[in-house]
Amino acid sequence: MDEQQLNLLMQQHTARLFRIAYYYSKNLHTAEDIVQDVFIKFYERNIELDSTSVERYLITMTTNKSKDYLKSWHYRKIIMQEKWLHTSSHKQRDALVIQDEEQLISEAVLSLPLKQREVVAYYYLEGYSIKELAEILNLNENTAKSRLVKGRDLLKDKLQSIEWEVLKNDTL
Amino acid sequence: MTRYKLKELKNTTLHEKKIQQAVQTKIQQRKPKRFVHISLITALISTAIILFVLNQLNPEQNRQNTNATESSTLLNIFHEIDGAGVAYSENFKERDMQHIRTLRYYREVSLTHFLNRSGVTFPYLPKPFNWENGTVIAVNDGYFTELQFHFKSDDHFFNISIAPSTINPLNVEELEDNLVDAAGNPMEIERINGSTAIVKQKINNGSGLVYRHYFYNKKNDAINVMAGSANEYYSYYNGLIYHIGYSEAAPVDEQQMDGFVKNFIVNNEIHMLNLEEATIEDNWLNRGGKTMLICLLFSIGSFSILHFLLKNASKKTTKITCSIVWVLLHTPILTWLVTFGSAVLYGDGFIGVGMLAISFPLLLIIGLCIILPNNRTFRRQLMLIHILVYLFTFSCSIYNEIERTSAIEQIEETL
Repeated sequence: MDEQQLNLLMQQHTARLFRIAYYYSKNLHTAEDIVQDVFIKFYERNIELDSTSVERYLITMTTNKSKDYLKSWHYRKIIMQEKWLHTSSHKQRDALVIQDEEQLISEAVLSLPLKQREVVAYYYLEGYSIKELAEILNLNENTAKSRLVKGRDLLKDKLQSIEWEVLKNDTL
Repeated sequence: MTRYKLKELKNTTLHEKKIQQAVQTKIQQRKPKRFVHISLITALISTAIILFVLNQLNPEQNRQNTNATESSTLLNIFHEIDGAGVAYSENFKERDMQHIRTLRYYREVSLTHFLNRSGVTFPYLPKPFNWENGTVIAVNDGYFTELQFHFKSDDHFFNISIAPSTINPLNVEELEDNLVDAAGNPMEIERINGSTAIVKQKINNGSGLVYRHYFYNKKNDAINVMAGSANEYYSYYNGLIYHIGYSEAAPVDEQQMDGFVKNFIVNNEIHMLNLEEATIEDNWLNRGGKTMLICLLFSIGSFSILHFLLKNASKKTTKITCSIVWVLLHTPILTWLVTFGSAVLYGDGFIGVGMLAISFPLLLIIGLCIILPNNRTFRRQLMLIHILVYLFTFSCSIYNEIERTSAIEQIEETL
């Protein structure tokens, strides 16, 4: 693979891979780093694949890399720090601060447990079918379905107070 | 249909551009040409270290170096060959510690050849032995050369072993109080002067301690040790241990033999030869430095090989391989280093043994705890453990060298 081919691939897939990395890491800078690593590794491996397989391959690499990041000490340290900071700032925060609807939806999706968050993100936000997301995440279709149902229930609870038309009309 | 996007992901163009630029920059930086240079330099340094260590480990090479610097030495008469075992006096081994030596062995030469080359003479032997058919074997413990003169007559032998020693193993007064050997047989003592004596252990009633002497195994071209029974003489005179024995059944006039032995010990010319010949150079390399360098070489080599082998390997393969290498190679190496460092630091081998028992399981568990969990930086952590252990051992060794040098200086000043 030469650099031109890589540039073409980056133009085609960066946006999607970036979003996927963000669903896992919940941090834009970390998502950037993950996607960078994925492209560099893919370039070094020099694998010849057709266009459909390339996309799947890159998504799987991004998913794995993101999961690796979530298991890293670096991430755990950040979580610990956030917990402390959140607790202290939370006390000072005014309970009546109004957040916009988009913000609330975003927070609700990102606050889902990882298993539910990834299926919700792939299904609702990225538009993959159950079968496709089950293949990407290496899951049984029924498992993917049940995780999606649970994820949607959790979202319902979290978004009780606001409208969430973007998601509610979808059926499994 | 346009899908719903999270608020933070509505406009990611800037991030995309940043990613693309970063990837392009990093790929530009990783030019293979630079990588080749690093590999080449690494390969050259590794080869140089390997050659250096091999050169240091080759005894024949060291021997040749010794020959080059010291043109005329006693060991030049002989030729180094393989061998096994140590000959020593069974009764006095705890006093002279001759049995713990690690030896180099030299091929047997005829006594005539030895006398011609060394320029010394040898007295006539009591009948039935004749010095003209005698042979000489030399062994060296790194610092001193032991000579063994062996004579045969039919099935009987007569053996004289002369070994330099800085310790006098004979306390004549103590021995005179208890004139019984380790097997319970009576011994005789004949004083040479006020402080030295010859101890005679004659076999009585067919029982006695084992008598060991070297013999040349022609078939294997090696020196081995033969054990048997013999009447023995043991003495320490002028810095030399004399261990003499002859076959129990040899038709020897005992009085004549006693006289010969006493005369030989006092008047022989062998003691004029330089038996203090260091074949092991007394330097840091021979005091553990060589082994530490070999360990370092193995550690660097193993990490480099693992790095190249596991470059594109899966996480599972990486972990399995690293665990195996840790258990089979790294743990023993690090354990030895910790053991050696502790023993050198406290100057006590028992502390080393204690540390061995503690550090081996501890290092094994620590290593596996680092490798097996989902830890991306486990290789760095393993390297850190290596660096810490090497720092400890090298520091101990350097500290020991400084202590040693100052002790030698003090002794020299005192003298």
